[in-house]
Formats: sequence, C-alpha cells, structure tokens
Amino acid sequence: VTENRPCDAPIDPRATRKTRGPSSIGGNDVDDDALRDVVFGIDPTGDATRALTRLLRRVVARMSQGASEHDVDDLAQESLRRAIEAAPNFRGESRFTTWAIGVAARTVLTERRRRFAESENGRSRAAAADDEARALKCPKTPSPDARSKKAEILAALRDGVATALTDRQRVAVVGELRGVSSVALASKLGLSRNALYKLVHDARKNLKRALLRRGFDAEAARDVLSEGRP
Amino acid sequence: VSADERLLLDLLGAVSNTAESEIDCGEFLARAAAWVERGRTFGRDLSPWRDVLRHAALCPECEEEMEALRSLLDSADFAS
Repeated sequence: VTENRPCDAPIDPRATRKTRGPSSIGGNDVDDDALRDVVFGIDPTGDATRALTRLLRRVVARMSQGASEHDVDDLAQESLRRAIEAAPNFRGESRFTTWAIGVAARTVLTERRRRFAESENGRSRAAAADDEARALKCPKTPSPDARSKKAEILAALRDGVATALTDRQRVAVVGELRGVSSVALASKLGLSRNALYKLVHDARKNLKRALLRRGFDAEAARDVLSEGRP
Repeated sequence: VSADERLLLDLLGAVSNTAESEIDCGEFLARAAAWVERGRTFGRDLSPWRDVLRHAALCPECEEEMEALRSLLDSADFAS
C-alpha cells in the first residue's frame, strides 16, 4: 500500500482503523477503534462511551485505593474529558486503550500532586524552593581553594543561574529539582504544564550556553558527574 | 555533598542532557504509550525513542506517569 502522505505529516488516527481490532484490556471486549472514536465524538449507540468510561474508572480505582466512590467517579469523568481534549495528539502509534490508560494515569497522579501541593508539606517545600531560588539570584564569589574542575564548573553553573536566567526560570528550575510539582509551579507562574516545560527547557539551554562561554561543554559536565562513580 | 552542591550537580546533569529541541509533556504522553507497549520489543535500536527517553530523564513527573502506565499494563487487570 502506498501512502500519498508527506513523511512529516501528522497521522490521522481515524484513518488507521485497519491496524487495531478488538481490545480485551480491562475486560472491555469492545473494538479498540470504537473506543477511540468516542474521543472524536463518534458513538451512535453510546456503548463505546460506556465501555471507555468503565475502563478509565478501573484505572482510577486501581490507582486510588481508599478513595471514595464519588472521587473515583469524578476522576474517571475528568480522565474522559482530558482524553477528549488530548485526542488530536493521539497518532495511532499504540493501541488506543493503552494511550487512554496513560491519560487516566496522568489524571490520577496530577490530582495526587495537586493535593500534596495544597498540603502543609507541599506549601513548605515550595516555600523552601522559592527561598533557594532567591538565594541563587546573587552571584557568589568562588572560594580561593575551588580549583578542581568540579568546583570550577559548579561555580560557572551557579554564576549562570544568577545571571543567565530570569526570575521565573530560576523559580521553575529550582522548584523542579527540589520536587515541587508541576501543578504547583504552573499555578504559581500562571502557565500550562507544557509552557512550564518550555520555560525550564529554555532555562537549561541558557545555562548550557553560559557554560560553553566559560569553556565547559557537555562532555566536561559528564566527566564531573562521573567523578567518584565506579 | 552539601544540599547546595547536590542541587547544582542535579542541574548540571539536566543541562548536560539538554537538546536544542525537545518534546513537551503533551507530546510525551502521546508517544509514551507506544514506547511502553512496544519499546521492549524494538531490540537495541533506541534511536526512534531518543526524544521520549530524554524527556523521561528530564521530567520526573512524566517518568512517574510512564512507570504507572507500564505497571498497569503489566498487571493482570489491564494486560491485553
């Protein structure tokens, strides 16, 4: 079969019905394609929507043991909503059910992170990371005995954090490394999760360039990181 | 290793693993299902999955979600 599609064109998942077939995942003996069509608004009988909701609920229930039935139902509905929202990203590279289970897993874990972020421990972790990010805004004079390659590269990196990052990038980078959830960081910075990732990615690229200007490439960094490892 | 040094070492690891172009968390979710489903049967050629693996190494939450998906698929309840 010859496809008249440019190699870099996105795959239309609705055009890949041929490859899938029935799915028995989660006890759903419903065609994988029929479940997929639900998120594209195609379900004339409503059977596939019910089957997909059952599948998502089973994922949520398994990952949220101890949660009330009400909470499980809410998260299953939220998973379905997110699957519909993310449907254009599904490219047919996997079974639809595998992808949908991934969406539900992300929904459950995101809710867990949100609850932690609102807890006292979560707030205190975020506050500590903020303090640390503020402290890193001030360049630090390297100590005179910092002559090892490791000390030099870490001093250059610290300098980069102080001078090559914006305040928002510093908060995001330090927060992420200190285990502040993306839910908390994205909310604080008024960003989506994808935009937060881009902010941190841009920050890492800035730091990479700052290190290169000081003569430290990725190999030098790896050398330092492998010090002391067997 | 002090907490300050640990932070800088972790950051150095992330910076050294940074590529000019990376997939975001949304794109990762779209591709992670295929990686988990078939990754282990692709043999040693990991090049089609470089972006996915790099993102998982740099984004602990996406890595956690991918491991959750893997664990669910490994369980009898969701095995196909």
